[in-house]
Amino acid sequence: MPPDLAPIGHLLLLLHAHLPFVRHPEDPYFLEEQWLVEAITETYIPLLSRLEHLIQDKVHVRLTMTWSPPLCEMLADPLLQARYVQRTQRLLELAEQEVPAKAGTPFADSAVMYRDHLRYCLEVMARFGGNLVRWVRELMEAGAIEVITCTATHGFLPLMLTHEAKRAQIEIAVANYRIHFGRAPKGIWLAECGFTPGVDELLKAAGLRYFFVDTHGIYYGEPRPRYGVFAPVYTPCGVAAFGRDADSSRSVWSAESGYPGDPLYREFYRDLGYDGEYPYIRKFLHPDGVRRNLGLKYHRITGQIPLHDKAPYSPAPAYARAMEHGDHFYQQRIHQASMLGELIGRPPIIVSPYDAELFGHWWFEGPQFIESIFRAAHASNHCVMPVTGSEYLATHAVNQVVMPSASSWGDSGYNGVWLNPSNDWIYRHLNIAEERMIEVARRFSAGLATTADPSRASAPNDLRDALNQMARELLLAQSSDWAFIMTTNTTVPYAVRRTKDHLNRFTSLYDMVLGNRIDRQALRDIAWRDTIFVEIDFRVYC
Amino acid sequence: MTAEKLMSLTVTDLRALAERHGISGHARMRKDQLIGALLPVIAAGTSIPKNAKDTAAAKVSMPVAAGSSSSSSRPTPGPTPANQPSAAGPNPGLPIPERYGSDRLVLLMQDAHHIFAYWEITPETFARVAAKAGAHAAHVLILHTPSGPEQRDIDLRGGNYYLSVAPGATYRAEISLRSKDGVLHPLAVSNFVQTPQAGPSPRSDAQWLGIDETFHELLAMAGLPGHEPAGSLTRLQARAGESQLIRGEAGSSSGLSSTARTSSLLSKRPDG
Repeated sequence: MPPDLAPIGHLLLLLHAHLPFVRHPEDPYFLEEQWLVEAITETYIPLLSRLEHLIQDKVHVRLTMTWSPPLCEMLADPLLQARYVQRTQRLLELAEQEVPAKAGTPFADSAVMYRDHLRYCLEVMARFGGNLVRWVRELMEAGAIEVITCTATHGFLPLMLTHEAKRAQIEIAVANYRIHFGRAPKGIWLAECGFTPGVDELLKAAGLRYFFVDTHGIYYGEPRPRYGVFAPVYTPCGVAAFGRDADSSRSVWSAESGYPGDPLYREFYRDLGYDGEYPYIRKFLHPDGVRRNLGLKYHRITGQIPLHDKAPYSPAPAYARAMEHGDHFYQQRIHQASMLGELIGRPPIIVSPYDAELFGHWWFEGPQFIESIFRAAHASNHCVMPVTGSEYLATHAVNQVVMPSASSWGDSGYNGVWLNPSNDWIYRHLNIAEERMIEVARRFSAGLATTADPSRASAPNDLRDALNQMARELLLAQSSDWAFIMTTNTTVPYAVRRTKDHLNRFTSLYDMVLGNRIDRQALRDIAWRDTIFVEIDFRVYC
Repeated sequence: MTAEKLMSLTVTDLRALAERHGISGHARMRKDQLIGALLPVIAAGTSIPKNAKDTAAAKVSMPVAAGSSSSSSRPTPGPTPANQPSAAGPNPGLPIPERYGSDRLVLLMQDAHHIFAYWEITPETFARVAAKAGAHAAHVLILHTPSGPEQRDIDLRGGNYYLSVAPGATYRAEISLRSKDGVLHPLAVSNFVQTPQAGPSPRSDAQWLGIDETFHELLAMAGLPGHEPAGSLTRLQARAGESQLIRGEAGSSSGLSSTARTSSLLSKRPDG
């Protein structure tokens, strides 16, 4: 809905939805697949349903969202879809028992909420044939979200050695986006905002028009940016870079306002998986019987008190508080835009990017918060106008030429999160793998393209399959998630294992390809495990 | 995770974090003590708030004793799902090469002030160079800085090294053996790496660029000599940001797009 008056500023709200590709056909109970299950139930479905409500209410919604290629590949994967439904049905069984069990207690409302939400999740899965990407696409076509892409496997470009490996991360992402969304992406979220000068040329060649960098990437750019992060800049080759506004991030997370820490909000660390009587919950736990979070949480943050003293959670007041917080956030942006407007002499654009999984999974009421930002904008007659990246550029086509500085949004702003003594061992292997991939791609691409001899028809196919699979293994090994997990010291053994498994498979395929002895059985086994990017063409590495 | 981000968490959250990171005595700590104990443990990270995957990952890793992964990756040929219950311990992953059999030295930028160097020197190369350098030759890493080379004694067996450097400069390194008489015998030479500026640029000259999205489409559809004829619908879908510089002149056109597209600098705006 257009505003009555020209807006005093613009708000580019961006949610980056991404999970690493975790799919283990060999184990129906694989633990880390639960990341996706939780994110679907707690983040993706709540967020998308809030957006749908906004559209139904004719509220002007403009949200920029990354749906990373690995996430799209998992959401569209029949095995993972089936596992999601199976695990959710199982949890629903428990949630249905919980309704009578909690009746007449202060936990009754929460019990009903969980049961209803899990039923809703299963309905939504049925509505979209199990594939939530279809819902995303529907909302994209309705104009509510602009879906942008991300590096193919969330690869962190600044620590890749070769131009070709960086280019492949970008080109493969764009090709995969076309498959899931039926068009070309206009923007990209570089994994972890990892940028180095020169990457912009690769983006341009891939047809991408804009990307995002952290605040200092703009401020330390060359030359000085006239408007700071409050207007995009063009790199010398003409790709736009938007800079993150530090204030809007702080206003969500600061100690003073600190939205997610509100006493009414749901407490993350109290969960039926730990609180329930063991015999009662046993059959709903992983077969190993270890107590873990089930996602049914009945307490609110309450205050700075021990976990066992937390008060019962009540959905309605928490929801109302999230609406207040969203409104507060928006009023702050109005205030910020009016001050900045005076300072820089033009309406600023405020770029507020967040990881999507934060909203709903970690901050349970987060999706309502996002919803309420758009409702507040609607109520304020859009005096700060929500826009998406390409929408803004379409109406603000003239911008300063600045080459952003090398940067990331990781702690301390550069590459240290992904390169430090906890994970530096991976780069000697990843860098060699890049070079080997380029080597074999160049060596065999010509032969494969021209082979016409029918007597050798099967051999070239094996070779092509092996080369394509090598590309998949390299890309999966490059997921920045593994290095990140090693640094944050969370599920380190899994991150180490994934790095090694993909490097091992890459290396054995390399040896097979060079030795001209492709073991079909082994190749089939690897391809059965690592199914990402069925469309891949290894020649992207030439 | 920065101190600021930790500050924004409640004490309860900090305790839970501390518990997850195995910090003993966290139940008795005050907020500042908790943060003090957590900071060195969480050496880095995008922060809990910013990255919920951190939390998601933490969730599944909590029962440490049970191991985080629930399957073993045996090389059983697929596609026959192995109906295996969880393994006793974490899967260590498949073996990877310890060495690749070629000499190399690679520099990677860690941040504006640090470079990470890693290397591999084959035994053959080492033996050949050591024969020339003589007994008791020192292992040195030579960093080529804008103000000249700097030598650092290293342990070649270590395989890697973090170097303190200055921002905004280009570096290259080599690994050599230094014989007793000070002569350097090179083993491997690195790539170039550039550290970013750690502050705002001194340059304040501004150029302005306008991206003309439609002109080239219209031109292409016009069917003029030298241009491919129409096919406008697919073109419109596939079009990428064609660029045209509209203001800004002379000056550093070298960095500007020099493709066949009409990129021209027309005027230059001095910074106010």
